[in-house]
Amino acid sequence: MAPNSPAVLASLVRLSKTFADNGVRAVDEVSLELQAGEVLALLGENGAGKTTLMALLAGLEVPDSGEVVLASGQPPSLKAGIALVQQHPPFAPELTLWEHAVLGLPGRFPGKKAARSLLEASAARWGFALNWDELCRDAGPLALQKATLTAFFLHPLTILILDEPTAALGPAEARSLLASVRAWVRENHACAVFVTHKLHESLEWADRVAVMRAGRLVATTTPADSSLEALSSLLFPRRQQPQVQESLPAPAASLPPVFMAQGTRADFELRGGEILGLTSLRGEGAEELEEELTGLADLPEGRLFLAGTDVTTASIAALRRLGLSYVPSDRMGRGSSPYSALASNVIPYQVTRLAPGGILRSHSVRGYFRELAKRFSLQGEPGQRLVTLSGGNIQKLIVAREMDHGPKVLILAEPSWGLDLEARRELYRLIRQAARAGSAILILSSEPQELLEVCTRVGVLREGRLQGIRLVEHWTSELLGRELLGVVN
Amino acid sequence: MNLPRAHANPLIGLSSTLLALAVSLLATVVLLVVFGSHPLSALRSFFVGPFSSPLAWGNTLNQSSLLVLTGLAASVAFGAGAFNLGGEGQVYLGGLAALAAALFLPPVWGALGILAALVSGMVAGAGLGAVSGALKARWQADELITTFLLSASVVPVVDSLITSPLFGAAGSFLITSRKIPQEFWLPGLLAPSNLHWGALLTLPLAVVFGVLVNSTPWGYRLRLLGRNRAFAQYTGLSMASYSLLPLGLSGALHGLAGALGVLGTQHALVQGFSSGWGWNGIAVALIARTNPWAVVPAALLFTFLDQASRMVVLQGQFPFQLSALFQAAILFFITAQIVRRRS
Amino acid sequence: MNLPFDLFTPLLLAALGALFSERAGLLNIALEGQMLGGAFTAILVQQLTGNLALTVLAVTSFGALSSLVLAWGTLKLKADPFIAALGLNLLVPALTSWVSFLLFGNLGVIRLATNVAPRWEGIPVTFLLALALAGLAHFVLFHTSWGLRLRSAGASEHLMASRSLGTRGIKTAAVVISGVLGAVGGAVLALNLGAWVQGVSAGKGWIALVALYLGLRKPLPLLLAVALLAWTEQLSGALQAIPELPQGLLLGLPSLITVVVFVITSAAGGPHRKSARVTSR
Repeated sequence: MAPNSPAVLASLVRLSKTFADNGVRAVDEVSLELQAGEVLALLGENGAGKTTLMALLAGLEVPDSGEVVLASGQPPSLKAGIALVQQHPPFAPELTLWEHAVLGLPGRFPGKKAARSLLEASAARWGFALNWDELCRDAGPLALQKATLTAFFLHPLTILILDEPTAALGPAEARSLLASVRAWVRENHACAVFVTHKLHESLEWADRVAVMRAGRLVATTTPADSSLEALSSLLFPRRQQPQVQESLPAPAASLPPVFMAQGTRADFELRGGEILGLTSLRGEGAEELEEELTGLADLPEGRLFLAGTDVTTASIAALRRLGLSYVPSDRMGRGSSPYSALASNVIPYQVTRLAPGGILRSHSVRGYFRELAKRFSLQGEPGQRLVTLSGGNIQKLIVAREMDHGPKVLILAEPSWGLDLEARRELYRLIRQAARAGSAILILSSEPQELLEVCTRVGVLREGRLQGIRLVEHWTSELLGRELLGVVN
Repeated sequence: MNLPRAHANPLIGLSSTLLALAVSLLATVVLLVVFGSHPLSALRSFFVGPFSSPLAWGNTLNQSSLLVLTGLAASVAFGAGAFNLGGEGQVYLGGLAALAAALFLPPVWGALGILAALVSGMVAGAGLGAVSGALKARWQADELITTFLLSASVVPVVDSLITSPLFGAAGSFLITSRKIPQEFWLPGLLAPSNLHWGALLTLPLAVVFGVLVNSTPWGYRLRLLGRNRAFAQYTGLSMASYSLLPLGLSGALHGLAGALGVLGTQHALVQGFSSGWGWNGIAVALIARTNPWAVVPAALLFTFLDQASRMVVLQGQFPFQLSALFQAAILFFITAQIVRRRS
Repeated sequence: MNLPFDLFTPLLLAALGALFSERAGLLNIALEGQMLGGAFTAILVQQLTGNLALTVLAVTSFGALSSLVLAWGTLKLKADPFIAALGLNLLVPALTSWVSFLLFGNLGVIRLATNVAPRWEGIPVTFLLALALAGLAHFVLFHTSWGLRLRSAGASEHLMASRSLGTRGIKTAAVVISGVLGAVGGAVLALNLGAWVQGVSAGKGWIALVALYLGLRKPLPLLLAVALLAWTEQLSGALQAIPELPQGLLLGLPSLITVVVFVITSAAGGPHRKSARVTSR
């Protein structure tokens, strides 16, 4: 083998995949070669087909046409040395992390002790320290991701695929992970592919960058031949202008707060027209706070006031009557009924109004949907099932439903998870519009950057407690990052 | 909760339903031909028997009216994502309550007394169903288990009450209660069959339920609950009352079926008469894919098959229990995706 | 109070069967029918051949076959496991009375001439075997790769796929084990009784499911749950000997006590509770 033509570990040959349930052609005639000793970054907006392409490469999905050819001649699978670490790895809630890790390991069942020493040795390479006796149910996505990565290294690997490996990591941790991946690739003449949204990450850590758009591979380049600008114009061909932030008028301090938490682990006062953002690392209490503020779980301490009423123990229905709207982080599980029609998904607060005389008229239901669709530019027909929409359009529908009746308070949790740039901008525009109309808005987000972009005040939640709220002008990304990690200087 | 659920979304496709019915029918016919003593006359009894006389007609209609009720009962619960496996006990208890009302209310009450007896049957059934709903709302006890077990504990109690001094017929060898006074009998139709005016009541009831479930805010909420419980809770539905409601309603319909059985058909409470009603109701609800409108034709079809096989058995052309065989086949295949969607 | 072996053993076997199927994610609701079928097969074959080995073979085959039918329906035809199993539960009593009619000309009772249940030091051998099986189940489920795979298959097909593992084979195996244990449980019940009576399983297949949740879905706590339920049934039986007590109430007692215990474990946040944090307010 000539030194200048590195060995090809895998060839993706004209792969295509269309999903039956929504008819979307997720991957369209993609061909790509993976070489020994390289780190490849795969870029693309949401819905570009990156995740599907990686699932095809790992053998977890079967292509409609085309094939994955490995150097070994085997079909792609973990057995053939290809591992895919998903952003939210699948898990069995009642298994311990060590059981999760040794599942599917060939050979004798190691037992608890042997498994632990095996895993600790493997985890050391990555600098992971995990409690292997913890149940997967309690472990949280980050620990699961680490455990899964460790687990795969017990198998003989040639290709490692990481889907958004740094999404949940702080900057320092992300660097150390990607450095370890690169070291492993170089030592073993293996190949690593990481899927990411972050352009700078791909320029810094990859040997090659591949860009996907609408199911097609539109370019492969190297960091040396590219730049942030070049990559971003590849991603968004019609160069979209960066959004100009219109400043919202600060609410008069004399106004009484419309939403207020007192004596809780996260006290705040929120006035109409304000957008307050609270950010935290995953697993630092944001999920609990989301449920406690919206009446889904009991508040462990303190009191909550909405529009001057003590709502500490109020039912969800009472909170809604008082003017609380809520866009949950779990959109499909909690925020919608995926297998119901779009119309059924937008009318829960309107059913009584739409049923004069107690009979729900289907033409008024459809009419309401159309009117809402017009105002919020929603996609789809009233009778269409929700699952057939893309993630961004589902989120827009939920936001429209929650905003429609001019809520006093609007809580949004992880509002832009999985949304592409276009959909995010649209979402931020809607949020600002609601604030201008007088709603008090609270955003819980694990992406500090988006809070800096959209909020008037921002606070950090660490170890389940609020670490202080400042006006957005008094924050920078670096400050927020340090506050999140608890690094005090 | 790790118990498996029927499809919260039972839109499994009409073709599957038809195929399940065809498979079951075919299996029954094959059994008749292979094991029946006179295959041809057995087949004739099977297909023509249920329509051969006003007696047969009337019985088929009467039977299907009761199945409409239990089918509606099962589908109301299914549609709201709840499982009611206690149909048998609820029917039985409803029958007991109607019996008690008919035996102890003064016969001069007449029609009012009939109404009171029907209502007491409904209340009794609803109460038993609602207990499971309450257990679920208060302590998260799975209704799949509690409805079944509560029904199983009620049945022997009713069994022994039937023959107790309170209700029992002195000197009778049948395991049945005393007859109720004739004033409480629902007037008959198509004599000598056991069809009665009460059976006709179930038709408008099915229509009303169809409207309730398909086109009212309340039905919308129940369906929401069946499709995604967490979403229903998030929109502000009270989980406590919406745990109680579907099971209570389902129980009420079962109770009404029991009351009609006593006032219209048997004019007494016969031991074990409710046996199998709960399962049949579930089968009918599944054939109707939990849509109340479709429960009526599904119940008619199911009763036809049931009566047809009874006919064959009665005329000695087949050993017995043929109906259980095809009921089993229907349940086994009804949710199967025999016709695959292209993937 | 002595442990009522005759009630305990069949229930434990069925509950262990329920455990395997539940852990593999395909809770076997057909246990009731399979116990009944096992009981019938045992008495039938014992009566016809007088050979205990043949009886065991026939009962095991019945359990395995009926489970394969269930697995075919649910895994291959994608039928709802719950509804399809209800179908099996309806099918078995119809089949037993049919076969009994064809062979003996009656639907009712078949009585064995001799008692074949072997004992060791006065303890039924089946009881000791069932205890050993509980221990074996614990070992297999929690200390072997196969058990780990079974539990994973029950929780997440995606997890299995991410490790190049399929789930259909292991689920089928779990349901077959479950059916065999249920059928053997029914056989033990009938052989202890020395007779076949219609409806002899009397809801034990369902009670086994309750025992499973009561026993926290683990083999060793399962022993306690089964013992508790067996004692309840014994108590109800003993009270029936007292003529002053209302008999109907007593017959309903085991189910009622089972409900109460089930509700208590549910309230205590048993494993069948989805999220402890979400309140019902």
